[in-house]
Amino acid sequence: MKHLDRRDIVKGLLITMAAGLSSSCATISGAPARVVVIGGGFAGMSCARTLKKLSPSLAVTLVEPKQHYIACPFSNLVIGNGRPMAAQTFSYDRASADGVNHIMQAATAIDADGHQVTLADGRRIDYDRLVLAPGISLNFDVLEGYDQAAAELMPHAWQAGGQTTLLARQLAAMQNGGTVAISVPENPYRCPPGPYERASLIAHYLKTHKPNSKLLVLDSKERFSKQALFMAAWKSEFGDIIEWQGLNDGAKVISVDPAAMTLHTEFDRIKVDVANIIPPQRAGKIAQLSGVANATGWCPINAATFESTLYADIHVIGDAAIANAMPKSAFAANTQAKLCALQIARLLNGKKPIESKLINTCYSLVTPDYGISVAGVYQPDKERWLAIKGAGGTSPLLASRKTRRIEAQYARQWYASITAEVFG
Amino acid sequence: MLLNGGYFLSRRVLRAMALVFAVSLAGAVHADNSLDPATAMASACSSCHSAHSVSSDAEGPGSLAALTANEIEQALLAFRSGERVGTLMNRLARGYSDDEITAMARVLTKQ
Repeated sequence: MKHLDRRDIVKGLLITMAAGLSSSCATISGAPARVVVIGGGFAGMSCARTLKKLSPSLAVTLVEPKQHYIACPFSNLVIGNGRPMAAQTFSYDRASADGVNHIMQAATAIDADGHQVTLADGRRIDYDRLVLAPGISLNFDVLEGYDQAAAELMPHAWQAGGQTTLLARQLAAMQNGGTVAISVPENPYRCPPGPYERASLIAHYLKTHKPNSKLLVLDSKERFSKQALFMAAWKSEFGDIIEWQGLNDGAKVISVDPAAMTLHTEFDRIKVDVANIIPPQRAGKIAQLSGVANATGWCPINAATFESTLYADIHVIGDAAIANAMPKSAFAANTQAKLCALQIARLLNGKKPIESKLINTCYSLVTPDYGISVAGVYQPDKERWLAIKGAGGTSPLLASRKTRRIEAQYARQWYASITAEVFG
Repeated sequence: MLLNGGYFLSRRVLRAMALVFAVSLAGAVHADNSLDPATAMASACSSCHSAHSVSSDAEGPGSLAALTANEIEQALLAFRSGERVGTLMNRLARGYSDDEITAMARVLTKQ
């Protein structure tokens, strides 16, 4: 047998290394596979970091114009309950530390055939797989009189930030005996129980600081998430401060007049002191611009892999995706992101995608010491995310103070845990 | 070119390359496990039970790192049957089969 010289050994090593790399690290003709993630919320940031963790050799780019993320969960405590915005604000530093290339630009176009994303500065970046996690955009075309300018007088506060502090300031400036109104859209929208948690925490503020005031919830629906729990708690905690009116009461707001501070339903003209208008929503702007969203305004996906049913090699996760039974929540966005990252890593490694169950948990605070929750377990069939029957559900309608206090505490622990996982 | 130059590589460089190769292999093995269905299913748990989470309450959603696979499995089965009463976990555990619980417990104990 011929004695191996160094050259043979080196060659052998290089060939084996190359083979190892291509099977384990998703390379395409020697170069690392490129995954671009658009949007840095609970879905996008989580997906980008998980991809890098699962497949360190992947070239992962996060396209997110903001320097900081401002989280929506728990932002209802900023409104009237003194929570500082700093507790809602997170840095993207960990993305770069993990080897994710964070480009601080907005995506303005997607060329699905050419596998290219155009950025606001004109740059084009190539991808092998694209993940869209753009969250929501507010639909200012539906409610007459409600546009960006109107939102400065009647805040939506449905994307946390300046709008959140604006609503908090308006509430603080209102006199005792004033009327606050919250207008709630039809499904689907971000955070199904969110408007009712907000109503609860505003009522808690009013009861404590401005007890002669009223809170009117004008709903475009007849039923809502955790309805029985919320309604029982509103009665026991706030007496008659909150008045909820649904679709059948004619409460759906169809237009607003910000200058006059009036909300208009089919039959009524309601003058209020503070108006929180939560407008109808659709998938984030880039999903509309690129046509990844369909006529519903949201993005249809193949359930198991989150791959768009309209464009190959584009995945959609979080609020923008049509995930059927799964609600648009930070928890769902984060679990979808982790599964989507795993599916992409498998696909880039030449493996078949898997089917995996996912869960969701949404905590709501009625007061800072009174928590309730809804949970679900979901599994994908060919097209849809279905809720598993017999699993999930809400907190019990009858429960001790202690149980409510424990759930409020778990809600805070959940927030600390998920934000640490995604941004920490 | 590396291949041409390879002929002149020193023993030290060879050793370094072998090491790099070993590390890349270890990475490959790790990556293979981390793409398993059980990992996918268990990945949802860390939203509450992350390595970062410190529960102020022994019963609360803390890190699972200190628990053995058997302890996690027994806890999930007890939540599912209702033998153990929690807040959320009874509702969630009811969504999983025996096999799924066993597989997830194995993954979770390593996190």
